[in-house]
Amino acid sequence: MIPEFLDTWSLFRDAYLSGLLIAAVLGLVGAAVVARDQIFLGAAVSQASMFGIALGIRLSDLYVERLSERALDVIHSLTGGLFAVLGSLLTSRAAGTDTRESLTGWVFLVGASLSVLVVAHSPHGLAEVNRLATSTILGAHETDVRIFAAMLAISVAVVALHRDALMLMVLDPEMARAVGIPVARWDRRLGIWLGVTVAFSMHVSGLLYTFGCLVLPGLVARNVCRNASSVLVAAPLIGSLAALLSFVLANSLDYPPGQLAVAVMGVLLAASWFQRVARRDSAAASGRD
Amino acid sequence: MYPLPPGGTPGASREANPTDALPAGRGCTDLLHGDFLCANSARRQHGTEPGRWSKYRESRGRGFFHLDGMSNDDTPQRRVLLRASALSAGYASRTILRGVDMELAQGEFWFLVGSNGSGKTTLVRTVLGLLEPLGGSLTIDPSLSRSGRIGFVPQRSEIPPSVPMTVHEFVRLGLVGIRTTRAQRLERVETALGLVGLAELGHRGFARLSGGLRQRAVLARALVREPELLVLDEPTNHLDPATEDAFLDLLLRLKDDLGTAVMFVTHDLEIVTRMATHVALFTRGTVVAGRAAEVFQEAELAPMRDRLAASQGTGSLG
Repeated sequence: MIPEFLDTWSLFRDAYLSGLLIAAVLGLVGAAVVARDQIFLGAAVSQASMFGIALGIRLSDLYVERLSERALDVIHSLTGGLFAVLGSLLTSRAAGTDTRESLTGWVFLVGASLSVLVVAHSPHGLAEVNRLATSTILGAHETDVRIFAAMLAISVAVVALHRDALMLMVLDPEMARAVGIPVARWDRRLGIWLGVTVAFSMHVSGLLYTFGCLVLPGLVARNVCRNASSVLVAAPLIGSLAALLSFVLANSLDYPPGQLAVAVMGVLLAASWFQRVARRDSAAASGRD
Repeated sequence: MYPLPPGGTPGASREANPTDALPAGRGCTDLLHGDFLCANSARRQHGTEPGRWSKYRESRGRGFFHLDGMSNDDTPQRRVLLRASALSAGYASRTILRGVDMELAQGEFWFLVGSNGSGKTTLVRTVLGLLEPLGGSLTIDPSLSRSGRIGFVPQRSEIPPSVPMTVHEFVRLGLVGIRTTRAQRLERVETALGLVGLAELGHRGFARLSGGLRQRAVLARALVREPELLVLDEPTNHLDPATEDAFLDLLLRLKDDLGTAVMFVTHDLEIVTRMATHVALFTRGTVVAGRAAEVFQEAELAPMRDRLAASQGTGSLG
């Protein structure tokens, strides 16, 4: 199984590396989303990004001529990123849980419907939106690998330098304000970074893989770790290892790697729930003794 | 690394009216006699910070009550940590409090009492720098604001129970914004856990603690900053009476042994009559503040005064 996978490495190197790096970056960024129990936010931001990409495709079909495919990719990434950031800021700035949930739902639904409607009369655009909705990582370029490597380096550096401040800001914003952290400013930065990472991932890997990598590794890490600091290490590792395992399996069993990766992460999450329940029961039993 | 809260800048005088500022270049403050002293000389004079906390850390093995020679009784002069003069506080669209005058000094135990919506939390938020004064002035000893030595205990921790977090890690978060080495962080966290009696539970999950123990951990998170001023916003609201008593005893010990000034928000008059040395009574958008007996007298709260007299075993409260 592994030699077969290694044989395909030269052909799919950029796709594999992009997939692994996306899982690591989104696993780390998603740890904050999961810690706040804003799981659906990831889907909404991804959907907003898809609308941005669809809008970019439509606008470039209508108004842009004689641009290379790569230049068009950049334009689509930028429009996708713009709407992902807008969606992220809109949902994170809303006051009150109820309003935030409502806005998240609104962003998701409007993004989902408009992303199809704007390209409804463009066969090429519609095909691209369908590709993004079903997810595939096989179209990644070397530039994508570099972009995600840079994103991972930035994310790791920020977490390493500001770990406790970020944790306090995400988990207990009132206390964070009391010790002098400019919470609103950090919240905006986090929202922008979430939008940027999700948008680039969306453009390369599609909705399912992006949303899966954003929330599933964080949820698994939350179940298996005993403290919050280790979640920040475990989530990107779990995401990357699950993705690697899935790519090997997908190659051997001839399944699409993106979907298989999400399925594997889903299985890991179910296993981690059982492990957590078993641990709690064991702790309760030892407490009774 | 992080900016101090609004007004938490060196000098620490946050005022809407510049004429009320402390004299330029003097820094801070012993305000009892209208006299301004440098914070460092005030500290030397009173033999207080940072000595008390470091002495406590050194004596950790000997337990909480072995702080020889650290009594607050021999303090020759009252060191004011916070002064509000004609302070107005509230939100941009609405003034909640007007004309607040109060002075809080080292080692004093202040209760902020009033009904819901009377402005207690507004004053706390202003003291913490989360709200800018709308008028008058609020002066905080620069040694507190510069080094982040104000501890805050909210009603309850907001940490979601689904997040795995040990008690040790939870307390460590209290050090955010304070420059420390890894060894200092560890020492401070262990000291704070020891102070609140959670030394053995550092590795337990925070979500697994009972309500009383969890509130002790929240207190430890404030104490890890080695605060000179501890601000508590209705911290015993969700505790049963026995746990509440234990929590209050702990605060009294902190005040007595470490000289920590305490600002305790509550609407429980029973606690106030039992423990208050100083009270800020919030009523009709303003505050009557001072020694407990005087405040109750001024506010025509004769029954409160009597209960206070009975609980403190004194015949006269004048």
